[in-house]
Amino acid sequence: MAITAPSARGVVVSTFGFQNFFPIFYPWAAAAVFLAASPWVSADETCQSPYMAKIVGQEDYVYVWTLGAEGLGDGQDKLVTVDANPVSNGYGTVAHTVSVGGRNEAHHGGFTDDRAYFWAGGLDTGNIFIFDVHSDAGKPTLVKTLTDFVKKSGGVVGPHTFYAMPGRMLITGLSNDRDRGGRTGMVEYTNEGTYLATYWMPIDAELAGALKSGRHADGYGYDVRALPRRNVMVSSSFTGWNNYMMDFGKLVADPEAMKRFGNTVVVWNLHARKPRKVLDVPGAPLEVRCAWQPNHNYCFTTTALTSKIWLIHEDTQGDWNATAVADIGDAAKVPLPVDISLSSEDDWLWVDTFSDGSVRLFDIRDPFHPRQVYEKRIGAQLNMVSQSWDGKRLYFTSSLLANWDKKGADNEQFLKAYAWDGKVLTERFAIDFTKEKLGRPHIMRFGARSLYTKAPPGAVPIAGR
Amino acid sequence: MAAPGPAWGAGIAPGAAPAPGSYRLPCIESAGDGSVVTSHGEATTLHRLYAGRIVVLSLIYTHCVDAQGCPWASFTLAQTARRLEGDPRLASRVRFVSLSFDPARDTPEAMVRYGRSFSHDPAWAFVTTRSPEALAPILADYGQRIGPDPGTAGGWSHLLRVFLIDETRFVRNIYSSSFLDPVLLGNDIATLGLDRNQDVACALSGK
Repeated sequence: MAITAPSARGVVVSTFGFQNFFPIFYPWAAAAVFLAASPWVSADETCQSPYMAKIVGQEDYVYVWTLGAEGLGDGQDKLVTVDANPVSNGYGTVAHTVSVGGRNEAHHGGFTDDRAYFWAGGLDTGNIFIFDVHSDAGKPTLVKTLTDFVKKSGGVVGPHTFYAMPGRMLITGLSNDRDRGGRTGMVEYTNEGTYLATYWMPIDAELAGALKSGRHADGYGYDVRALPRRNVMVSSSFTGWNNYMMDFGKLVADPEAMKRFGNTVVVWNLHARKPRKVLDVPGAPLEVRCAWQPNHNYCFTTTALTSKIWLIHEDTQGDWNATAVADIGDAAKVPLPVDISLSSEDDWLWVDTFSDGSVRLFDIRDPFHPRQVYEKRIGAQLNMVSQSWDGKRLYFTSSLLANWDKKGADNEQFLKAYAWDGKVLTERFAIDFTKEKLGRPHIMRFGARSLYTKAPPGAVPIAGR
Repeated sequence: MAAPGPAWGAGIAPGAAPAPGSYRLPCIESAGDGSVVTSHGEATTLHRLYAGRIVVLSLIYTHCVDAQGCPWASFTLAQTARRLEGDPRLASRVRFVSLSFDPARDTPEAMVRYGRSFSHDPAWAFVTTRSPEALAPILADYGQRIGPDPGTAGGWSHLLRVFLIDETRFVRNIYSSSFLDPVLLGNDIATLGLDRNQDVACALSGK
């Protein structure tokens, strides 16, 4: 079926002059990079913090935070840099890897607001690895490892989302060190790696001023996104260490364990970092994506266990509510929606489902009535999706969690790049992470050399950290 | 590329900002010091300028031609100062400091001319440095990364940074372009004004 391709319409923020886009960067790169620092912009390049510089042209690299696999290569978690520029001789190949010395259940990561550093977490150990991506965008280096996240945070386990705030990083947790269940919090650090504060998710006994609007106030956590112009932050909920480190087959056979999944989305006062309202969103709402456009006061999430798209939306009275707006595949077959990617115009939503290895595209121009318009099987299993700012390039990875990935021949581990012409996805390249002895690829983030072009000789040195 | 939606600087929606004192600002880091020169040509230091006040430090350069860059920062500070006029007691505890990172062109005289566009209040200091060498450690302390902007003659690429510093010289908030709003900034200043105990806590935190 023919649909209109996500276009560059409305892409960000022409109200910026270049000198503000390129703090550390240089505007001869302007064709490739913008700082999408407008408060009404957030999503991928697509799912990045609105406080961060964005690449709106051709990305040079895809950074892939990759779980180490026992017996495969060095067996360590690693940041894999893939050459993604079609004009490069190395297009579609691994340009660089940097291993971190062990396995930590590598999962998610994110850039600081100045995009100089990439923070990546281990869900098992709680270690946080900080990579310098500005000195040489093609060869990131590990410059600092935070090994005391759990202790500093007061017991938050499983650093997950790394969300850039001005001069700071906000990190969601998945668990805690007391019972390794789902109760958790969000933790804030300076860009330099100094701990600042912990904000625990509201529970019945500690609502912290939040309104419990439904049946649940479970205190679970997963992802977070912000709508700064509404002073709103939205967090979702997954499950604790006991579950996400358990073998998937064993987990689904354990009825008690299956009860221990998050059923809430929390709407926060962004500036005060205080919870405002706890919304019932049953079935483990995972990734959160907030709309880009200035009058779109809503965010999307998808529930892993109930296979639905939910809209978290503000009404005319300024109150926030959650509404299930669409099914994703056949919920009875447990497709397990895992990652989503919102287009820059808020028109299209890509949804990856792990079990059937497929991606689905929904027309969300009416956010209350999403309509599926495309579907393609990418592999035997599928997890993350990242799209370029113009929506013309999509990248997919395969791994969910070390103990949840499929077994045997279905345990495909790949990065695949596709072109989207508005009608079909066409594969551009694929990298077999098992054959390359790299591991299990998870989150992807984009890099561009032009972001970090060095100062000309004789120029005043760029201030360091 | 046309940007949809509100004009730049619309910032946070009316009524969406939390009330002063309803939240706490974290102790982010100790605010750095450094040698600077006032618009009167007097040598001093940042810490002397801070002098036990709540400080809003804005890093700018006067030749910045981006209306949404340094001029926007200075305009926002001016709006914030105007909001503070309604609370003279709090206003007397606040100092604005605009520091240039372009010492070659931003002489004390240039800072005087620039400052007149935004304020005649002597509590707002428009300062510069003697040299790039004097400037560099200050920029490093505050994490302000700059580089030459070949798109504009003599321009500087930079991420807009404004710092809120408490009376014990702790950075309590950092603002970038998308986060700089006179209502939020004013409320943050008032929040610091209401909670000196937290200032003490920051001073004792050892950061």
